[in-house]
Amino acid sequence: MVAGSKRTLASVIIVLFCFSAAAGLSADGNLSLELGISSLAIETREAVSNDSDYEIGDSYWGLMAAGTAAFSYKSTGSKNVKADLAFSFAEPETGLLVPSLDRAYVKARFPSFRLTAGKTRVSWGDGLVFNAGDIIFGSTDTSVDLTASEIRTETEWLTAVNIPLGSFSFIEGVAIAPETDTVAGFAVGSLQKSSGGGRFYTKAGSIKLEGGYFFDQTGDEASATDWESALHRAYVAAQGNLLADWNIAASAALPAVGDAKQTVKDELNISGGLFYLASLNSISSMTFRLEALYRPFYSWEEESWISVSEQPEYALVLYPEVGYTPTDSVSLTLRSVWSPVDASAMITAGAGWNVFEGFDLSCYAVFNAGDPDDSFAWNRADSLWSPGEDLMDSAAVIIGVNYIY
Amino acid sequence: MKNKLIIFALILLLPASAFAISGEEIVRKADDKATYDSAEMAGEMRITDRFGTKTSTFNSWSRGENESLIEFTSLAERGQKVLRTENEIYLYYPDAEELIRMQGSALRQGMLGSDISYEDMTGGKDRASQYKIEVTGSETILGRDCWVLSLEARTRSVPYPKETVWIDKQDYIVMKGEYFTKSGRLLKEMEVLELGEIDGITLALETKISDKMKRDSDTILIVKDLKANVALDDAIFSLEELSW
Repeated sequence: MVAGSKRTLASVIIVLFCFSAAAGLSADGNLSLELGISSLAIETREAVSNDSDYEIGDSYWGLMAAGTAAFSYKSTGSKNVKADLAFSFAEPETGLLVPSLDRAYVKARFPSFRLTAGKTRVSWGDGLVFNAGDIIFGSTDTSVDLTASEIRTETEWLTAVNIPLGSFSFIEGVAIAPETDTVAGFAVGSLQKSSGGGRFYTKAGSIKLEGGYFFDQTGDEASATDWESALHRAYVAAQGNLLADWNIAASAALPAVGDAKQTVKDELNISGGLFYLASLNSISSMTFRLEALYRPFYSWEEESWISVSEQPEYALVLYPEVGYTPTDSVSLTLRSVWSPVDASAMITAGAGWNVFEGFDLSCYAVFNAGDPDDSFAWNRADSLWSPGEDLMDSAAVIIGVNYIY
Repeated sequence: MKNKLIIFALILLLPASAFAISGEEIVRKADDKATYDSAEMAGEMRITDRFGTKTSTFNSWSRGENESLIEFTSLAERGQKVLRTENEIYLYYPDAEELIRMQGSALRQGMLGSDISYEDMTGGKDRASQYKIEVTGSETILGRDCWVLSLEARTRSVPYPKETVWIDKQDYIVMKGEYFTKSGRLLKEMEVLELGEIDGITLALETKISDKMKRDSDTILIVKDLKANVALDDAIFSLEELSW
């Protein structure tokens, strides 16, 4: 993606400079390498061309291998300055390594506040899959990878200031620089295109409360007229325990300019979750999690699916999860994103085994259950991944290894 | 009431804190021996099963019965932290910059695949009122003459309904413990592998905990360093320190 590349490069240089400064305090640090290798078997519904093995219309199980390598270097030399630099590399079918800068930040702790600068994330609100309180990165997308160890991992170039207000309360301010678009000739993003906001975090009795505001221009093109698609976003969130751990969050947005009615309808999100852990005996346990995303002005009636970019979105989406840990090193999970309005679901069954120190084996079976025009379809009429290639059913088996050393 | 902190190397032994008349004095002294107003510790946890040994290292800070912070320093979980307060646990995952608050049953979850729950690691309990205790004999453990005490729970709110513990007659150190179901099935066993002295305090440097529900598996806790009754800043037990 070209847009933002120059900003990213400039930011990398700035952060590397900061890293150098941090390293100057001490050369101490910890380097870790994480390798993830996986094989994906996926069922095709029909081939779209003839070759030596298949003819048009044939079904077959395909197999592909993929791998990622992630490097992380964390500073350890200073009690009041921290830095983390993390790259990952993936090799897709083209054979070209695709690098990704996952994290690159410096934190400095002052007597009364903390400063963070670089590529990282801030986690606002609560929720594993659905979190209406995450008004910066957004945690309402239903197209999530349930085989990932961490489901929401987006980072952004940001500057954050965190001011403690006691042991369990703080306020936090965040500023995000605007995008640039070198293709359109915007070498530097306009200051007026910046995004920023803040939140408070506190406890009232046994309930955690937080709320915040974010002036959001992160979705704007650099060439857009100032504020034409900017949003004022706000959220409130609470978390507590009543038999089970619970959380709830609500967020809304108003446009900076223009008609507010449609924006309010589109951006009003309410999410909630329940989590319970049941110890079966001294070593095995089961966990139960249920999350819901409720968008009051979205459709309660099933609609026809038009294309990948124009999928219908419904008022209610659920995320049920059951986990079973029979021994300390083995875990089994059954996860699903379920759309009750069109009665379709993406279901992921997984098993993980921590065999050796830092070495994990995992196996996932993923399939969609739904009609061709449902949110999660077993066999769509067109290819979801690569138009023109063989059509695929929504069934896959993934076997992988992960090693951190 | 004077707060007491139970260093976690001995936490699993300390269910022996409620006593009948003859056992009360023994266990009270053992309790006093193993508890501090505050402590700063560096340690190691080795989890062994039939595939080998996984090692986690950590630093911990504790104050009173209810405040503790653990920071893991080993590679796979470096920077992960656990903050325990009276009724809640906060988990911090540095790569995701994520702060997770847990209450209720989640506190009993096993930590890093060990035989120790977060509650075991970070929570102290007043167990004195929870057990009936009886001195049943004497045995020698690691060359030390020990009382053998039998404990039976007075309440259901304890992890083990029945326990047998061996307490050293010289230094009142709990040298061994066996933890049973109500029907008498052995669930967990602990034993001190090495005694030593740090900063003038005699304590268990290596403690082995075996979960009898698992085959060929045990956890060894090693105390690398301990500073007892040191002044700890309030800020250590805060979200600011947790997420740093």
